[in-house]
Amino acid sequence: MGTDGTPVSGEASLTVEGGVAVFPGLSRTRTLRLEALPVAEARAVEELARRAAFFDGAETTPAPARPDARTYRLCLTIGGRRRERCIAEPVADPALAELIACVQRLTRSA
Amino acid sequence: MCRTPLHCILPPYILTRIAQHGTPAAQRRALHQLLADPTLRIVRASTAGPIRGQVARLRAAADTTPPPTPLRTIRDAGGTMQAPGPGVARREGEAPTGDAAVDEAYEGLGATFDLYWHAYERNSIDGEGLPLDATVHYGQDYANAFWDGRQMVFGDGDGEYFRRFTIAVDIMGHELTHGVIEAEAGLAYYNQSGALNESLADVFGALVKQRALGQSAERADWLIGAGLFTDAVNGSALRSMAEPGTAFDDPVLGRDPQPAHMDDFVFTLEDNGGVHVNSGIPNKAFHLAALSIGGNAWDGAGRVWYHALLDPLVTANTDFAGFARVTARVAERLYGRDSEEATAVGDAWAAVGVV
Ligand SMILES: [Zn+2]
Repeated sequence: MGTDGTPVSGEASLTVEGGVAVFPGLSRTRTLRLEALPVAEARAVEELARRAAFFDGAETTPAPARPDARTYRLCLTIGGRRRERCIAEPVADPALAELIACVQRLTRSA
Repeated sequence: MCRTPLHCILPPYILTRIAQHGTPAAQRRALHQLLADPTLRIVRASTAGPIRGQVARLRAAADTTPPPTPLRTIRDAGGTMQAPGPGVARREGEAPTGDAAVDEAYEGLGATFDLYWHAYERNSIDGEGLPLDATVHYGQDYANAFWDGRQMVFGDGDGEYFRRFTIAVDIMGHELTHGVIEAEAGLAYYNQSGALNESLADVFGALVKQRALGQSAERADWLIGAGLFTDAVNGSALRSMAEPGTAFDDPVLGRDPQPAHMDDFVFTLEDNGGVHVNSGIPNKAFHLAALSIGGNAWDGAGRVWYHALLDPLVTANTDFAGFARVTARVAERLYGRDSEEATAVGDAWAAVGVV
């Protein structure tokens, strides 16, 4: 785990499926290296992952698909830990929702 | 049609008791049922002098029962992914707020309620006056809208490729129709039944828009989500019911993947088995039927599709062919076996290779 000033190493990848329409150009998996980010942003991902208990939370059975809702396949590798989770909308846990939004914003601009 | 099975089988004297002593909602339903009863119609038609007594009281009560109106609540998620949003932005009867997403959602819910009530006498999503809830300003740069089982949820778009999703009234009709489908046939949201679910949401979404604009089948654009794309996108809408597969062709978004014929049916595991892709086939069938029948699509083809959705033969796993058979039966029931409408419906499904 990185501390202040120490680069955070790892990777985040996100695949978004579903939604009110299918756009083939937007359905690819987007991946970014955390080392390539400004330290503050990489640290924000790390902190959100901790708050959302991304690596520790129990695997939940995906809820039945809601019409037009999206499904997020989020894979994080941070500090030697790696986990992929599949999360369907609506995302009940605000911390997990914030983590997804953050990774989506970073992978979009990467 | 009777959406309250208990009332369908009750004799008039019990209905009369309910009309006199039931809850307000039960009283309204019982009165409606009583006045639709043919024996009572005969009484009304054959009574030469003024109607007195119980019949007069029932008629007076029915005449003064106001038509149902929507009960809308628009909430603001404030850019979070929380739905329902914490703050109520506009309640039923309140003045416009000046927030475009809030006011468009309010109007869109109203237009959808109006289609279902005025065209099909359906009182809201469940037929029982369910309050209509929506949350806007959901998420950051969120380019989507969905039905979460209780309410509609709308993002503001990313501003780069997508505008706010409340801009398209047909999308609001689409999302609320998912609620209607859930309350009726309960079409499972995967593979063909899921694509049929998506198609019905498009059909009634398009009809909400056409009715709001006063457009006949011939004049309508048959686009779903027109106006959602920014100028950066090479496309006109999310989907085209008239020409599936032609709505967009863009370097970033890709090309509209919808087929218009069973020969081009797409087998995929993505998108719950291609529910937003293969819906192009039944969409095209509805478009063809509506054009062939002519006039306002919500009156002719829309009426057939609506009654098919309510038909007991349409269930969770109904596929395209199963739904096509029911629409054919409904068209015969509503318009006659050899009617132009029944022929138009059969021809439309044949043209897209479903039957
Ligand atoms: Zn849908």
